[in-house]
Amino acid sequence: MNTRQPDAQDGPTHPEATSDSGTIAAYRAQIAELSAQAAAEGCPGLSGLGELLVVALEQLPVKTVPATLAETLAALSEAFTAYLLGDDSAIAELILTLSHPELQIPLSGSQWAQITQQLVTELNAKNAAPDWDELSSAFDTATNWDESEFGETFLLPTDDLVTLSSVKDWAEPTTDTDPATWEDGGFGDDFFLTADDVSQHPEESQSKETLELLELMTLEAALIRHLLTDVANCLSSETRLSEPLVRLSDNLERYQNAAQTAGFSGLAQICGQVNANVRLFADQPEAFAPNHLETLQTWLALVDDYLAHFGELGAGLPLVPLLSTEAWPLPLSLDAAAELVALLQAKPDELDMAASAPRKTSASAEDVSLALPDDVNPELLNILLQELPSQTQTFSAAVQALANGGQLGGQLADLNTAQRIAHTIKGAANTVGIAGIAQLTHALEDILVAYAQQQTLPDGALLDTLLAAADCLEAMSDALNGLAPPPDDALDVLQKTLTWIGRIDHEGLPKSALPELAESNSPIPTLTTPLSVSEPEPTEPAPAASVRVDAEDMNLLFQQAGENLILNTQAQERLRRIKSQLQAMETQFELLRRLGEELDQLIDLKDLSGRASINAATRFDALEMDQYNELHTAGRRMVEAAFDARELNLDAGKELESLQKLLDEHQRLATDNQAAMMKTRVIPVSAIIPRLQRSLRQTCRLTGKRCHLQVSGEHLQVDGDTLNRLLDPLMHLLRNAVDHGIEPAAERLAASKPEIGQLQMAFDRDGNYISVRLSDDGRGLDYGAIYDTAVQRGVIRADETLSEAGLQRLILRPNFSTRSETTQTSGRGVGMDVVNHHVLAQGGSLALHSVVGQGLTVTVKIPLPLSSTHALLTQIGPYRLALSNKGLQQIVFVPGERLTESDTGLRLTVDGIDYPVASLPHLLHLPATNSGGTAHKTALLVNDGEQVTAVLLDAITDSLDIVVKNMGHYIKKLPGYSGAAILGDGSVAPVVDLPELLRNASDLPVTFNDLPNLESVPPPGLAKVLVVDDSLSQRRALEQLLHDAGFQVTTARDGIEAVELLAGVALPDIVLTDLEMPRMNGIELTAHIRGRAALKTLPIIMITSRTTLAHRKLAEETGTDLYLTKPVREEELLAQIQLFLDVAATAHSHPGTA
Amino acid sequence: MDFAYSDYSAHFAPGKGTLDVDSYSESVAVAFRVGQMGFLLPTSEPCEVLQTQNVNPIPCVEPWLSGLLNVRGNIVPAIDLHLLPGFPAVATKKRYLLAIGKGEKTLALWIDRYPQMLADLGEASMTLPPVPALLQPCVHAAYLIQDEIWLNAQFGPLFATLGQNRQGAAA
Repeated sequence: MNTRQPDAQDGPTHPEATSDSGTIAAYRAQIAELSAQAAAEGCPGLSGLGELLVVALEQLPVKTVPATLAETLAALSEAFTAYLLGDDSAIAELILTLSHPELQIPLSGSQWAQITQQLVTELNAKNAAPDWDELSSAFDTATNWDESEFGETFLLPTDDLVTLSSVKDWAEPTTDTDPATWEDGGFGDDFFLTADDVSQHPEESQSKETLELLELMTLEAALIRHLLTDVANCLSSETRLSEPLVRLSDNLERYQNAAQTAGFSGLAQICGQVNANVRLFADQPEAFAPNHLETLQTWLALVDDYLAHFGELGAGLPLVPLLSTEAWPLPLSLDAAAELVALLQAKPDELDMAASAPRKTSASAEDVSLALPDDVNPELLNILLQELPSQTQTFSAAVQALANGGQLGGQLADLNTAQRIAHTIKGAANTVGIAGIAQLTHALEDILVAYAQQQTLPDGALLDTLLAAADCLEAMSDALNGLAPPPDDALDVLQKTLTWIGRIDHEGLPKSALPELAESNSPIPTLTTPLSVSEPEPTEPAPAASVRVDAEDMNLLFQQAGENLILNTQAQERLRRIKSQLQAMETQFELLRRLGEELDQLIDLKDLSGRASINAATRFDALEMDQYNELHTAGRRMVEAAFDARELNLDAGKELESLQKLLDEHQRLATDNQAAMMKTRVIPVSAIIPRLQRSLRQTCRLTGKRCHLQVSGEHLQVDGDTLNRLLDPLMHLLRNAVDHGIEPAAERLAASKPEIGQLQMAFDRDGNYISVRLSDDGRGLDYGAIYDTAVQRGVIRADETLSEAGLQRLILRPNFSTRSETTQTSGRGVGMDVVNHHVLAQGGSLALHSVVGQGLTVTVKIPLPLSSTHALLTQIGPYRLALSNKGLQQIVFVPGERLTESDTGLRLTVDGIDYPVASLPHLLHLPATNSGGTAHKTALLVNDGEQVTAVLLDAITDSLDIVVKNMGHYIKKLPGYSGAAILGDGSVAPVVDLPELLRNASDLPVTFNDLPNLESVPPPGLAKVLVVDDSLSQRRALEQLLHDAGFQVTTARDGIEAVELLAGVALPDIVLTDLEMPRMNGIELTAHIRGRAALKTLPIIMITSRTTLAHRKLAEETGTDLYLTKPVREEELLAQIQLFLDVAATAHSHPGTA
Repeated sequence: MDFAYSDYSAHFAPGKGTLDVDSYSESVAVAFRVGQMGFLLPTSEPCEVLQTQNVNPIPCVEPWLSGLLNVRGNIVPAIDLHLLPGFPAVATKKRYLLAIGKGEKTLALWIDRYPQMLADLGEASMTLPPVPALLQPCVHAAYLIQDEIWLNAQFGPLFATLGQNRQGAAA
């Protein structure tokens, strides 16, 4: 080796030659000089050792070096020189010195080993330096090479080594930039083979993340510098120092934490040390002197230097002696210095390794543990839990895409995506401290990186392992989010993944993994460069800014948005009524005007007849004689007033039109608002598809069957809560389909079915429901087995026959299974009954359709929380019902004679099509309110999914848009109702789901109907009074009086209206009626009541202003129980009512005496 | 379940087993009566006497479910405890609707007179008077105050039970 001998005389002088020979200070100075020379000659390891010795000497409690130590130190200079000359025996000497007992350097065994190893490595690299003569001859052709330049200096500075690297590239021109191939020969072998060379290219060798962290730390250091300037200003102006020092201390603490988090443990320790000093100064600012400021500034400059040269061996070492000086009130202790040296000497790859979990070869239970560390940061955990589901799903989708095959470019992009996400999840899991996820993603990343580097794709068994790992990862995510228990197969999956890594490490990528890329002449797109234009890499949209809002608050906002809409609907309804009243007023004013004109004419006529005689007698003009009297004037004024009132009415109409526009505008806004709120709650169905696919894959693995799931409607936007509630039932249905429905491959082939089972899942919106239809092409329901099981369990008698529909319903019964043994997939004591229970509990429904040998279709419907729909209003007795337009095909007016009787009941023919007929009261198990088939009715043609039925009802009272809500927290679902709606007048109407009502009609047990006739109408809590009076004021006064007295009051404007009310279900307990009324008066009403058997005993009180005996007699003869003349004393009326009620109650409780 | 409500307060007969009895956590409670049964509500429980009594009946449901009403945009079921199995039908005059709970979790009960505040509840009795079967799991303690028995009932579970009971009957 042709090297220049360093001149021994150039080295530092022995301390004995100095005046303060033998003192610690002298030795420190000498060793510091040696250390600096070592650093200058590119031996940072040796330099660090020297710095450590300096610190150790500083910490010695004596001023003079003990004799034994002096003897050892005397040989140090030689050892340094020998080391620099490449003599590896010097290493032992140096370590011996460092470990001298008098120095008391508290290094651990591994730290000793680390320092030794570092010195060995450093020296090897040094000795492996090329023969410069040979090198120079090899470079003869290099025209710009100045031999004298590099010949002068043996130990090239780092920059020069970088230059040499360039020279190597020049000397061996090749397009192969793969470092792995550099080891295959050429003079570069010796020069580039050591790990130390990493330090010569820190920017290239360090990961992007490390570089980002370095940049971040440098920025943070700038802030500290700014604070130091504040301190300096305060120091020079002699103002209060404590505040800037406290700020400095706070920021140093933050800096320390940041350094620790980023993996710069050495820097973190340094910051902690400096901060301990700064805190002391903050407590005693008077002790802070300019030299302390200078020390801090020096320290910060060294930190900058450290960060700038991070990755180079020896970087940051000058910080160690600085912190050990007496300038600090709390200098660095020796053991801390030793630890610090070790930390600062850590190479960047070690840093990376330290930041991630070490590679394992065998998995243990701890490695798949999802337990959270005791000191888990809740905020970080929260963020992880929020992001993990989507990340694991994307990872799963990418791996699934790899499994699905496709174009190479796309698949490489998928590989890249999977690798990137695995890396992201690993980092997040490590930060939070969840070992299970960190270990698995670490292992996955290693595999994916290996493939990405080779630009090949995994396949075969490895792909299966990756798929299983992706599923496992998703399951872990679910478990952390409390949605599912931790996956059972995590340990197995991790072990398989680790086994694959080991195999790849030792044997390289599996042969089958290397596709025919080598044979392809087409350029292979790299993973780091964009793919061709025709195959663009899927770009991920930049994540939009998001805000985390408490779910409860969101629900409240959503509810308020709904209320806003409902209130608008109510306001619209009120407006509609006012407009209707205004219309009526318009008619009245018109009538008034006409009457006024008639009156005017009559006055004129009368005037003319009178005037003729007067004129004849007096011969005066009418005006002259003031013959236009006050009657004329009043008549004219009345006509004018009628015109004015009409004008005012028209003005009011215009105002209402404006109000209508405003309300329409508000409605649009409220609708938009609700839609915007809805948007925050809705997610596409596709969000749960990966989980469904995973569930399917797991089941297939367990059953050994192969299935393919095709999903449609995945773009449907559905309320997130509802979708999540659907997930469990759907996963169970999938498992059921694979386990029970899909036949084994051989059986399928024998049945001429494709080997792979086909499953289809279709999502759709059905009115206020989301419906999911899952079809399989399996064997369908085994009706025979269901029947046998039912008989065996005593559910049905042996001689009983059941339709297929009936048998289908049997499997929805609790604990009904035809399987004799349980299976791991779907037979753990849960079956279709559990799914059914799940669905019913959410107010949904489940329907089965099976064809033997062809498969089973299960349709699940779950109501959405809030939706608007169009509805028809109808009234059956006291019940006001909204009929949702779901399934409604046509509204038909039906004269009674068009209904025909047949064996199967009433039929209705519309446009030549014959429909079965059902009456709404009958469907609701309410008594009929009309006289029968001869009356005119309205029929709704309703499709219940199986057939179209004509549903008869008495009348449609209104047609309007309603917002369907559920019936509150405690009533989840009433069969036959889809919810309830708040109407315009603030009342609540149950919303009838006619198709469901029709489907349930045959199923409804008789016992369900608690109200088969009039007698079983819900017993009223309050006595009911019917008030009949044509005077609005009288009606209102009576209504208020009776209501306040605790009665439930119904009013009617005349006898006809009262008769209609009395035809309803809920009868009053007593009737109060006026005598004189339009259309039907009180006498006629009484006669009608007494003529009906059901009302014969109904007490009737007549209240009238007619005081004549004839009227009273007539009333009593007709059947009036009490005749009262106005004004009526309130107490007397109430007492009389109570009397009648008591009598009626007595008669009811003792019917025999009645 | 038949028992004489006229003897209810006089006998204070033990019910079916004794339940967990813990002293009322507050010394003041809202008290209301349904028939001869008195109930206590903690003052922390939101409750109000409703001005409206427009209960909209629903066809084909259990008698105790009087219907639905609109309480500030929330659809609230109205329950008539008198019509629960085991409660004797009592002829009443003026009744009031007491809404208990908040938002969607509101339920209205028919009560006989305005609720009152009761203070100094004292110690709960270790024994419970007989109560209708449906109420038994919801009644936690009983207090004897001025010769009247007041039950500390958890209405949330009761309402949930009623809802399930209704569903069970309907399914």
